[in-house]
Amino acid sequence: MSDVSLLSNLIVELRRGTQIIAVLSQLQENQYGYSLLQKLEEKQISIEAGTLYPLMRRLESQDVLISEWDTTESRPRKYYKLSDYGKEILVELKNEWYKLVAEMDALFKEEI
Amino acid sequence: MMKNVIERYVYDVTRRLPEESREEVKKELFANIDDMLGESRTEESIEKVLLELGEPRLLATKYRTKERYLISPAYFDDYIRVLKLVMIILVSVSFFTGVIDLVISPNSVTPWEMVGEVISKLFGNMFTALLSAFAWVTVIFWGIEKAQEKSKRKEWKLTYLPELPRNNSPKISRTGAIVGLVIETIFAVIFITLLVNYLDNVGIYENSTMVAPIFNNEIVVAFIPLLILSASISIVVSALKAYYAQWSIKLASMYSISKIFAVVIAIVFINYPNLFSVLMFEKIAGYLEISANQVANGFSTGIRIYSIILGITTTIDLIITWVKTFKSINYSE
Repeated sequence: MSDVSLLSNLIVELRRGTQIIAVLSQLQENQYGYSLLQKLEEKQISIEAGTLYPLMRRLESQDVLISEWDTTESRPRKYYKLSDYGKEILVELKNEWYKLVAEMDALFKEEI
Repeated sequence: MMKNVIERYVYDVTRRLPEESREEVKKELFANIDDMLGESRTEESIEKVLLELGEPRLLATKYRTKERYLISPAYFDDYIRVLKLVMIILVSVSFFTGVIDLVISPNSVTPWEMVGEVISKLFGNMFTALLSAFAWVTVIFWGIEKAQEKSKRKEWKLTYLPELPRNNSPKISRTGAIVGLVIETIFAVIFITLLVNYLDNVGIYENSTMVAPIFNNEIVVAFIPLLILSASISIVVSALKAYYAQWSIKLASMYSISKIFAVVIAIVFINYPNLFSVLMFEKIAGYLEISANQVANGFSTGIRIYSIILGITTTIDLIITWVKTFKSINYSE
């Protein structure tokens, strides 16, 4: 039984590192918290609401995202998107990602 | 129906956040919850959304950018080690001062009362000592932590590495423990048999007739159950010591309790008012050609000194025991 939870822990741990790049990749356009959550879910990327919302705020405080409140509609919403700095970061992260995939592929091929 | 659950939820999150970000997080959280609810405002859907967001305490920690500790993981081991050491020392010292206090001012009537008073006083002292040890060590480590935060961490160097410990895992010598156990049992049996069966014959003899009893026998009789109890506990713990031959927290705790109990009873016993018979003092005074009062005073001074020595040696013994215990635990880990 404990093996199952160990495995799922390891999977969560492995995926955690990809959360930020996944979030950033979907913020070329303005998104508010819930719309981003749904967009990620549609693409099978599961991230908890309680993780996503604080993460967006944190990224904003690090100047990776910029935000603005839209109060024209009946529901006020806070929209986020990549800053110029954020765009640079995303490019770098993507490069790193492709490198990582290639490295892992190479590792796994050796094993077989 | 619970009232204002959403407001209460948001409040429970934001009250844990720094003042300056509270208002913004609150607004945003309301908006997010609103979006997640959509058109459905039933109790069930509200519950579902809030459960999805998770425990307010956890959500709040995710909103905080800086991790916060009282004692950070990097210092935690040192903290625990220092805490143990300080606790051992403070508890021992408080035990020792408690014993002295008892020797100087006993004020109960029956032996049971006196032992009860002493034990409650000693444990009260030790508990206070534990709490203050905890408080001081924590405050000092917290201060170190704060100071570290401000200044850059010092570069780590090879010279900081500790020396290797010299001795091997400290064990209890099994032979020694068994010899101790045997001697202890023999003495306990002789002593208790003497008290139970031959108490009336314990005295000063002239030409094989007893001229003065040493004790006021009714006081000794009142102590007999306590003495038997204390001897039995000591013997059982000595047997456990020989059996395990390795200090553990459990064994050291039992050993400490039995030691403390035995010492308390011994000290209460020998310091008990009117334990010794006036007749004996008079007899001795007659031999030495001084007054019975002087003899009585000399006796009580001697007993006090002996009690304090007993307190000191027990304290040292307990400190050594606990230090050995933590060493042996660290080795087995």
